[in-house]
Amino acid sequence: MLVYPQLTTGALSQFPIEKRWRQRTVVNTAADGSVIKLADPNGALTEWQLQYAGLSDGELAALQQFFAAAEGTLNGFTFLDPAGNLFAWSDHLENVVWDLGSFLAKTGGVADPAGGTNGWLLTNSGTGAQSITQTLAAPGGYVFCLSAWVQAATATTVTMLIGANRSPRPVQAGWNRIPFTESGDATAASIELGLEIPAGAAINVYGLQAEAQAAPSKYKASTTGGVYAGARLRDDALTFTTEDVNDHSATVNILYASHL
Amino acid sequence: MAAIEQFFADNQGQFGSFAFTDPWDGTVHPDCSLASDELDLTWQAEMRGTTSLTVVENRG
Repeated sequence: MLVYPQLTTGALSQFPIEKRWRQRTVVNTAADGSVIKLADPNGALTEWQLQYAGLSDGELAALQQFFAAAEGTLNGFTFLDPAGNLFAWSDHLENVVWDLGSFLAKTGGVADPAGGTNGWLLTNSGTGAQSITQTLAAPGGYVFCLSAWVQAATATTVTMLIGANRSPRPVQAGWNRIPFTESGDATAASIELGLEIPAGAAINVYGLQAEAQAAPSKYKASTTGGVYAGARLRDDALTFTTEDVNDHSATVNILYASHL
Repeated sequence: MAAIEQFFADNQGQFGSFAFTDPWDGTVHPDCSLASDELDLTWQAEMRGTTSLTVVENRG
């Protein structure tokens, strides 16, 4: 699986990041002025422009190797949206994209720390730990940051999961955001991230977020998720400028169209 | 930014319709759409970005 490279910092890009959404709507304007619209979701296109500055020799070499492997615009690759939440349906834990343990009950509509009611009460009625996870079709060797807001009426712990890596975190009476950064199996083409709830515990959860970077950004509710398999470079040329020793700049344009 | 991005996706560009409250006078226009099938978003830094949307009222 060809994947877009991370920088040595673990980030996928630098600021500024530009993203362009293009939808396609067929519009028929009748003689009387009325309008009939037809959505054409297969014509949708998403573009990113990533501008890099201060790249090291190694980071530039990684970009050049990736460009050569992709052969410019020819080959598709997996791209993780640097401006999005990699999880799909992050506010909808009832969605089938989430894998819940058999004894883990979920109740929606819980007041969340952002002032809404998008929190979920997860109750483990089993005698062993139960997890809620989502598997991303993303390279396991990437640096991932998993974050979530958690709260419990009775103090307990929750274990954050990134692949085989585990990190227990305390859960208190007030809402608290817990982050966990780790890499998974470098040879794996997918990685599972989520939370493990101990036996008998009841925890309110909100804002589950996965990002391909070293630290969490502000929570972004998602539906489609941020993993784009089959993205392509927009250009057949990679232009970079060497500013100084071990100091380079470059701009990369990436596009994703589900119909390509 | 994320909310605007999600709103644009939910509306599938100019296809969807929604109620829009005019910020000038508070009038609620019940049938409006986005004017364009394109949305440009720029993040200058964490928690700081720019974008632009045009809303049109559907008639007829």
